[in-house]
Formats: sequence, C-alpha cells, structure tokens
Amino acid sequence: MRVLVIEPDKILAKTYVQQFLLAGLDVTLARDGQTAVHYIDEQIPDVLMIEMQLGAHSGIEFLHELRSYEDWAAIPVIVNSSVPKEAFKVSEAAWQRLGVTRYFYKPKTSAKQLIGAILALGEQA
Amino acid sequence: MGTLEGGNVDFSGYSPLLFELQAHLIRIKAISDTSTKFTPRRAQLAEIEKISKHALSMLDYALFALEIRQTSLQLSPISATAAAQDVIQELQSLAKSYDVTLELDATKRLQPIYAHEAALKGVLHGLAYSAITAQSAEQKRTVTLSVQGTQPGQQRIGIFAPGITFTGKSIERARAVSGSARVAAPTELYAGGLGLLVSDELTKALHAELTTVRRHKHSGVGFYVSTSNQLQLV
Repeated sequence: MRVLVIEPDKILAKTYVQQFLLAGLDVTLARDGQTAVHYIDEQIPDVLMIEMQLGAHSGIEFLHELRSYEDWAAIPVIVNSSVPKEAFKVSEAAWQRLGVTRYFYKPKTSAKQLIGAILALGEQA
Repeated sequence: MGTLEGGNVDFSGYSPLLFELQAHLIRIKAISDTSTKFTPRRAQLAEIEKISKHALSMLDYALFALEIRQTSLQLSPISATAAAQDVIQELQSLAKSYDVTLELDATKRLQPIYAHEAALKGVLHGLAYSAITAQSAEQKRTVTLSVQGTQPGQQRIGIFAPGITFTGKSIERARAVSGSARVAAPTELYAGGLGLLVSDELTKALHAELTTVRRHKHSGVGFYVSTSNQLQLV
C-alpha cells in the first residue's frame, strides 16, 4: 500500500517514515506541496497524509489543487496537523469535497492511530 | 538569563512561543511513540534530550526578550565574533538534525561592539534558529552567521542562507505575528517565526533595527551596530 506523507517537519517526517515502514507500508515523503505534486505525477498513492501547515502553499490550497485534476480526485486524504480542525473556517461538507476522510490533531494522535486509519482506507479500497 | 525583578512578565503577543513549544513537544511525543523494537532506546533518549535542550534554549531567549521589553539594558564592549561562535556551538546539533551546516564568516580583528552579551546572543540564536528550521527545497543547506566591518565605527551582523530569501516582508510578517496566531513564517514555513520575533525584540534592546542585508548576492537578515570606540568618541 503506497502512502505519500506530506510533512514539513524533518524530525516528525523521519519518525513517521520509520513507523510506517515498520507497519509494512510503502512510504514516500514530501516536505512541501510542490514536491508532493511531482511525486503524485510519477505514481498515484493509495493514501495521502498531509500536514495543513505547509510552506508556500497551505494544506487547503494544496488539496484544492489536488482535486482539480481528474486523475487524482479519488485519492483518499488523511490530515495529520498541529492545527486543530476547528481552527479552519471550513464546513464539514467542504472537507468532504476536498476528500479528507479523517482529520487527526497531532498532539492527540499516535503513530498507531495513523497506521490504523491508513490500513482501514486500504481495506475499503 | 532571567536577571530582572519586578512584576509578572507580559506574555501578550507571544503566542508563537506557545506554538513553538507545542511543535517541540509533538516531536518529543512522536519519538517516544517510536517502538523500542525499532530504534535503540538510547538513541531515542538522545534525540529527545537534544530537542528538549533546543526548546529550552529558545524558551530562555524568548523569556529574556519578554522581560526586557520595558527595560534599558546595560551595554558594554563585547566581541560580536565571539558571541556568534558561541551561538554556532549552541545550535550545532540542531543544525545537524536539519542537515544544515552552520558556519561563521567574520572579518578578522574586529573591534568590540557596544552591546549586551545575552541580548546579542539571543538575536543571533533567534536568527539562526529561524534559518535552520525554515523549510527549503534544498536538502542540505549552509547557514552563515556573518560579522563584518562595513564602515569605520560600524559592524554588520547578519544571517544568510542560500535558498531562503529574507525580505522586508519576512520581517514585517514576523512582527505581525506578535499578538496574532500561529503562521509565523520568516520565509515559507510556520516554524522559525518565534526566532525572528525574539530577534526583533532583542535587536531593539540593542538600539538597532532588524533589516534585510545582502552579501555575495544573497539576501539575509541582520542589523548594524556601532563599535565601542565609536561610541566612546561620541
């Protein structure tokens, strides 16, 4: 199962990659939206996990861009962010339109929960 | 570093401090979360110790900047180069974890400047911290702390990081986050804004102003200070 992790924080990215590999996932890491687009262009992931606070783009902008391409419209997205969901003025319907299936708040989320959510999406596919 | 006495510290405008601490705690949590079956426990603990050390160091300078908001610092002749060397040593392990090479570029035999050692180190620490943790497309980067004699009686102290463009807008954004929420980007990333915020406050305490500077066609951020001799003549 291919997972693309978009995580700007180097230390967190390293720990996620370690844990996901250990769980048998095929992980690709991008530290910003632009690199992620490049990777998706090469190979469409089964699941995308994203931090909403990215560099030049915000996570929301990135997701809008992602959904604007027909081929990529169905990629399930898990948000794992240090910004709580409530901080965004985005309706539930809008999150759904952006294809966000689960929203995790980093301070309250373990790697185990992330892996569980990713594997669950794989089973649904 | 908390040398001042008096009322409670006014934390207003320092929400980036909380977000920076949150980021460090999330990192510590993520590493602790890593199963011992994967990483040797000793390595995990070393990593946690390193992150804690940097979080505390940044917190220390931020609290110092908060404490001196309303106070005049006692300035004395000190070596900017020596202060920069100390800061480089302090941040070496942080830089390494971000694949950043931290180096000093200083004009030889510079005169002492008129400054406050802890405040000057706080400015340099904040600037370097911002440049190290800022996101960049380049995987391996070099961040240079620079101390140059620009004209008689004046030295320019700055930070340069190819791949990261510091602009006047970057500094304005750092000032704007004072009092607002979390997007504290010096350039492109949310991380590092606290560094610029702390630097800006401490630079003011040194009677200088944070500004964009250029060196070898790279834009950086820095400030100008007078040498102690010049001030003595005045």
